[in-house]
Amino acid sequence: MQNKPVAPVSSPHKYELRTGVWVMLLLAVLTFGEFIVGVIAPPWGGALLLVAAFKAFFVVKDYMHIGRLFSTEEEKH
Amino acid sequence: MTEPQASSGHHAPAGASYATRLARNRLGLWLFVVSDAFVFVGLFIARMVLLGPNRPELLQGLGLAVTAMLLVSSFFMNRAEVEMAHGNRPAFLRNIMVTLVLGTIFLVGVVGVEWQLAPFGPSDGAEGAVFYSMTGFHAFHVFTGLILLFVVWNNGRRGLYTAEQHWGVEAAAIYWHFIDVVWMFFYVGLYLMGTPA
Repeated sequence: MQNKPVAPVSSPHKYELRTGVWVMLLLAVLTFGEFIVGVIAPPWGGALLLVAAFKAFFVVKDYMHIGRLFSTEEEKH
Repeated sequence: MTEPQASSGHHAPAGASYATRLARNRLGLWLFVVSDAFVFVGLFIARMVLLGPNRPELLQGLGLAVTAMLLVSSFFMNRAEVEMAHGNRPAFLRNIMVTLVLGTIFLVGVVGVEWQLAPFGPSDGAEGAVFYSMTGFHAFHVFTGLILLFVVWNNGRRGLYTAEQHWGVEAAAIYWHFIDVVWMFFYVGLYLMGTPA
């Protein structure tokens, strides 16, 4: 067995991973909330759509990185 | 989805930098995403018009389970992209494989289970038409997304991406998250909004 060197995790790397976890937790809590409301009070469809839009906002911002589209700096990738 | 070589872009002027072509690729992909979103919006409007305050009689537990699978798959897709951006190829491959597995479970859950258990068929009135067209069109996107993820995983395995140049990974991630965003609304429209018909 050859031991591979483990690269140290940099701060931006940690920050990006942590952001991913926070967004996931937010999505989990809101989706479960939607489920409860949908089962108990189905007529609240408008509110449920607002929650869905709120969830979508975070996915588009933090997972799809829409900000990169408007970025003028020469990024890597 | 291999990375374009800096000196041989087909559509970019000779000498265009990787960053310039990357910016064009991003714009092109986002234009596609927005145009594709219009079709999904049309399907959602059809649901609102045809079903109104009612919703199809579906299994709530199964709906929540497949939704959870897709949400968690998005999380792992994000991790895969972050790991590639920092040059951690083994972690990238691991995370994208988890995404593939979760996406496949979602697809099987919707097409293989929900479609079979639904108490109506595609030709059983507005309910069937709305449910099968919405889930069918979305499932087709999931299927193509899975193919894309497999191609990207295979390219990653062959070492075609680097921390500096991995547009293929970014593109696959954007497409996969888009599928997730669409389902967030479809889940509400099909499973939660209105009273069961």
